[in-house]
Parts: sequence; structure tokens; C-alpha cells
Amino acid sequence: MAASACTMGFRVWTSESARRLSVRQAPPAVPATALTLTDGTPVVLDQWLAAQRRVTIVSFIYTRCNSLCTVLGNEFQQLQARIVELHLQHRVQLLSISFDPQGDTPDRIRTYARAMGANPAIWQFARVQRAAQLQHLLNAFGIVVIPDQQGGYVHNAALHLLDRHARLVDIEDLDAIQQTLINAEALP
Amino acid sequence: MKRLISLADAWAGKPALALWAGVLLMGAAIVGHAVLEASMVLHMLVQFPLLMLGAALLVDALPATSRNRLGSFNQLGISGLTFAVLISSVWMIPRALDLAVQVGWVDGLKILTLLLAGMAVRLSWPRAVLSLQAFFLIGWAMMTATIGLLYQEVPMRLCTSYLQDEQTNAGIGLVALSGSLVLVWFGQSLRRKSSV
Repeated sequence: MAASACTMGFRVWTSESARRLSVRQAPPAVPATALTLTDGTPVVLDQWLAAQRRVTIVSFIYTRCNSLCTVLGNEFQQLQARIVELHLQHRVQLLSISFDPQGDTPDRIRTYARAMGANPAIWQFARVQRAAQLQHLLNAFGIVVIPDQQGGYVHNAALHLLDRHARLVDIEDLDAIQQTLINAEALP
Repeated sequence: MKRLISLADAWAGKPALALWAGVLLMGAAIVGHAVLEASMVLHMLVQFPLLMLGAALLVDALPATSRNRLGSFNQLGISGLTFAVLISSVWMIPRALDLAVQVGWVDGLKILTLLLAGMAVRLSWPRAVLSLQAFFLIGWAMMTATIGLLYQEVPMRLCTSYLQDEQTNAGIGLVALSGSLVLVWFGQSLRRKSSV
């Protein structure tokens, strides 16, 4: 019984697959976290997302990262290119949220966004206004950040798809760009 | 495992000593839970055995009559060993490990069930005949070694709480532990056979 509960009826063995299955079964609403965007505009996450009238693909990053997040940066660069190519910018936007508010100052975020070639109309970066709200935001998405042995972090990086009502409806692997765009387009 | 249990046999007649040793091991596993659970290796290969050994020592501190009474529903040790194998396999599921690290009450449940599993092994092992011991120990060891190989081979992090290196090391540890317990048991059984 415990084994069945823990594996959601013997369908998942890892926390990562459990979180993916559970958002598909019952999409959770994202929290009302106070964020600042790339240009310093303060927003409240759920209200801002709902006001966008677009679906949003979210990733979590920290700009000092030189392994996975660089990959994430590349994935988002590719996503941005595909969105432009397919003229999806009025339907899909990208949001990278930093989980390292100490390291990722507003300046660093701006520099990073520029280095990534982010078009602000498609791809925004955000950091939490109050560090105390970060854990709540990470919990809502099911992100676990642990320190690595080189003074950086490791986390369960993925592409998070949010519908127009700011609900987390799908989580895909980092490299599942095509699938995530197909899923994004299929959303009402 | 046999050697551990014969070590525990040495406590016979010294219940107070067994009690204190058991409390000490369990206490170390529980008080040190934050430190132990920060590493996958310490979590699985130090905390789990400490909890089970500590609980087994508590059983040794019991008078023989109550030990026998506890054993009445566990004639050949089958129920107890089945229970212990089930508990042990649940806490090797990556998601179960993550939940134990991230959710307080799950960790409490883990500690409680591992203590019960340790008691069950201590009560059941001497009752199980050699073939039953072989069945349970080798079955458990095959499962544990398979999981240990998986932890080493899978090119992704199975636990969100642990780094890939930790997962690999825990995998090596599980293979080593299961292999050496079978070897120790095999050696002891041979010796017992030849001395009969």
C-alpha cells in the first residue's frame, strides 16, 4: 500500500516523474509571487501571466551556472528562434526565473538577457523581489535546488508549460522543444 | 547478517548493555538525521543499518519469554522476514528517498518502519531454517544489487535531493553490502554445517 502510494499506483519511481504526472492530472495554479522582470518592472506572477493572454514556457536558472542552465539558455534561444519562425509570438512567450536572487542582481540579469539575445517581447527574465518568497515559488513548481561541490547548484531543470490562466499544465524534458511547442499550440 | 546477529547473541544475559547499545545506535541515526540524509550514501548505508541494528539490539534486551510471545505469529520467521524485505524495498525507491528527505512525516514513517523491520529480522532470523534464510537473504540481495547497479548505470539523477556522484556511490555501496552479506552468511552456514 505504501509502495503503491509512493509510486502513484506503480506508475512513477522518481520524484521528477511524479511531479510531471501530477501536474497533468490536476494542473496547479502558479502562486502570486512578486517578481521583477528584465527591465526592472515589478509584477505579480499569476496576474502578469493571466494578463499576457499567451501561454508561457517557464524555466528556472541561475546566471552563474555553466552546465545545465547554459543548456537551458541554448534551449530557450532555440525556442525563441522557432517562435519567431512560426509567428507564434502572440501565442507563446518565454520566462526564465532565477532561483539565486543573491547572485543574480538586476544588473546581472540584464547582462545575461542581452548575452542570450533575448527579445523582450518574447523572452523575459525574472527574479523574486523578496528572497523569502523564493521557496514557496519553487515548491509550487516542484523545483529542488541543491548545492553542487563547486559552489554552484544542481536542480531538476525542465520546460514548464503554463496555460493562459496561469496554470502549470505540462512539464517536458529540456530538449523536448518541438513537443513543448506542439503542446503549447494545442492549448486553448 | 548472520555475523551481526551472532554479535547480537553475545548480548544475551546482558540485557542492560544491549538496551544501551541499541538506544545509542538508534539515537545516532535519529539525532544525526539531517547530516546523514544530506548524503545518499550515509542515508542508505549508514542511517538505515543503524536503525535496524539498534532496533535488533532492543529486542535482545527483552526477556526471552516476551521474545517468544512476539514470535508466536511468526513461527518460521516467514512473516517477519517478508515484512522486512518489503520495508527495505520501499525505501530503495528513489521517490521514497526524496520524500523522506523533503517531508518530515515521511521521514518519521521511514524511521519507524525501519526500526520495526530491524526487530522483525532479529526475531525471525533464528527461527528460519537454512533454506528459508537463503530464500530471503539471496532474494533481498539480488533486488538490492540490481537497484545498486541501476543507481550506477542510469545516466540521470533519480533523486532530486542528491547529486549524480552520490547516486553512483550509493549504488556501489548497495552492491557491496548485498554481496558481502550473502558471502558472510554463506561462510557461516558452511562453518555451522561442518561443525555439526
